[in-house]
Amino acid sequence: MTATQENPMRATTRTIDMPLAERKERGRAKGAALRLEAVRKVYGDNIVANDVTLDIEPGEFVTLLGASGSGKTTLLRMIAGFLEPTAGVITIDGKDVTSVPVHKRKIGVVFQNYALFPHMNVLKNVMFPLEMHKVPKVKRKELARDALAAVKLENFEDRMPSQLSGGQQQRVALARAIVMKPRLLLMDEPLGALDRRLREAMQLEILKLSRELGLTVINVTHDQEEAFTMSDKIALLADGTLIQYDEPAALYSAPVSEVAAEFLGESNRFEGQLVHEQQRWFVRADDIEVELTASAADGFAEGDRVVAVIRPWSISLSSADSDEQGSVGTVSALIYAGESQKVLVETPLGREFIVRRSLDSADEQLHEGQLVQLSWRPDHVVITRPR
Amino acid sequence: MTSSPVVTAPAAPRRRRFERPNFWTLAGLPGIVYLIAVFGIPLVFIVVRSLTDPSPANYAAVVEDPLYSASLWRTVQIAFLVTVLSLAIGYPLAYAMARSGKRLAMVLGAALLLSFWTSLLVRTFAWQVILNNTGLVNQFLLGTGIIDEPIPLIRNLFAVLVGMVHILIPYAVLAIYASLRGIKPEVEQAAQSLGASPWRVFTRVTLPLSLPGVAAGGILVFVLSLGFYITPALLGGPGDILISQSVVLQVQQYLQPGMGAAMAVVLVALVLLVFVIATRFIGLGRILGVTGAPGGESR
Ligand SMILES: Nc1ncnc2c1ncn2[C@@H]1O[C@H](COP(=O)(O)OP(=O)(O)OP(=O)(O)O)[C@@H](O)[C@H]1O
Ligand SMILES: [Mg+2]
Repeated sequence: MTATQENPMRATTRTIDMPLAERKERGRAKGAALRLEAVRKVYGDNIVANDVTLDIEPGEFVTLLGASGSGKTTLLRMIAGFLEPTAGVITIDGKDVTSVPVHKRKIGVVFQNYALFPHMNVLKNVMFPLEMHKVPKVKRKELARDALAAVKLENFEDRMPSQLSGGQQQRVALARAIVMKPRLLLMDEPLGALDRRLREAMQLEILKLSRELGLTVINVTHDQEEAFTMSDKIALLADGTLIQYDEPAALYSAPVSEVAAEFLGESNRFEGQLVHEQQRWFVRADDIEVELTASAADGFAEGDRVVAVIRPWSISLSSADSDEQGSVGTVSALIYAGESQKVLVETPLGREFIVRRSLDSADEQLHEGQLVQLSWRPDHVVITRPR
Repeated sequence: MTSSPVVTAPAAPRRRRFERPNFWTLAGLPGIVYLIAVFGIPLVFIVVRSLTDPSPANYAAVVEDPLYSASLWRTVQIAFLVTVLSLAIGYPLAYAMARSGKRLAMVLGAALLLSFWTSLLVRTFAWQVILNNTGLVNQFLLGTGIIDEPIPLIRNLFAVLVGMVHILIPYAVLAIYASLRGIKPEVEQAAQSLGASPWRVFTRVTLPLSLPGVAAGGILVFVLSLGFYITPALLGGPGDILISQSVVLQVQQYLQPGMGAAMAVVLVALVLLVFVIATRFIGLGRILGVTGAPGGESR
């Protein structure tokens, strides 16, 4: 858990973070509970969803994260009802919906390419679900305008979708998906086509909106940063299999496998043997020895082959003399990335470390070729099984 | 209906500034020369002839003489009927092709194109064989004892409609098919997820988005119907003379080429009129099938 504390990614959510317990209390009234039981989808002999079991509580914001082709969209489409699972059961609030047609599921869906009705203006797009659900005519405009106001598009009612920017279109799609106040909102890479700045702004807006409405949200992305910023829980998929389903911090601090660790962003990984000596735990590789805490070693036995994972943010650098002890290396590259600096350090034995530092810190200036000392706290080291 | 797709579909750029001829203008030159030589110049001759042989009074006759105006009016009526029938029968076919599995779509498409590529004359004669008093249909009905004597299936309006619809329906189907294929599946899925039953998805989303294709197919069928000659001549009755048949009669039987020319010009004018009206609503490129369907493209 501690490993994430200095990760600035997490900081962005704090401002709009309401205690999860409180949100669940509100969410219980509004958001839906979703359960997948051994949901399976097979195309020919290609298993695209491999007995996925997932429990999502009311009001939770869950992200399906995984590489391209890992089955995220397929899973989402089965929840929405566009696809029928080969086997398994999907329940919403305890009711089996596996064979309920899409239009009766009352699930909001936001598509990657927005899927607005090109022949209707913005207001008509947003009023469409109201009409389908036979909301009295007099109320439709008002409700649609409220939804448009929620996505800050009050003055766009008469525009056609083709006259909107990508971000505006996605807002309309969002307004259209929430105007009927569905209890479950599905989003398939809703921000995939937007540029970075807009994406980050929209992330916050979507998050805020879903919290205000107490919606249960399932979001698909392959952007791990987005997953961390937005989610209460992340479901990590690889080749159709759910490999880990947990809170972001837990995923970060206790990845179940090297695959999981790898997916959650840059990391320094050392495969070696778990050693227990004088009440202390180490991962011993050929060229390096990494100490960890007893709690990190929990669940592993001495002699296991494991992978030690150290996040780039957990490593600090100080200038070193060549005769100094511990891990020493040469700065091989300095890369500026926004508010942080990425430093590549090469050890004499040819191993490369990735280190991240914030620019505004009082850290001393580094230059390429400089000899530095690498250090980290043992409680920032996590271990996991090799792939 | 201010938001109908027909109105809002981006119109093809109509006015272009004169520029130095580029490569493509030069590449198109032989085609333009060819068109002028075999179509433009003869057309000028016909217009001149219609005004001078013997006089512009030809046009007065076309409009006033019930003999001619009736065939003109009948032509428009039949073209209209053929258009409505082609669209009504063609739409479900196009829908099946666009939305069914690969295999069915292939079979339907192959059947359509096969009939499309078969000579018009052959297809018309085939209908003669089928609809004759001694044709397939009557033989069958007589054989099974449903009727005692052949029913008149040929040399009447019915046969003309059957033949023309059969020959022209591929244009309607292909135009509608193209616009249906242009609709993104997500747009229909979005409608579903927003609570629309399959029927409502069709009436509120699919149909309106395919209307440009319907209009394009309809205009093509209508315009082509106006000039039909062989099929109505072979399948129609003596009372169902269409304008193109009248033209031939004027020239060959009554030896009044000026009169025939005037009718031909009226026919061309009619076609142009339809196109001008149509292009006010949908782009010319769309009718001719050179621009893509808008469908779900929302950018
Ligand atoms: N209709 C289909 N027939 C056969 N295979 C399919 C079909 N649809 C998807 N697949 C396969 O299922 C797998 C998962 O696809 P899916 O679209 O769910 O991936 P994804 O995780 O959403 O990927 P991306 O991040 O690229 O969107 C892929 O290997 C894909 O090739
Ligand atoms: Mg996908």
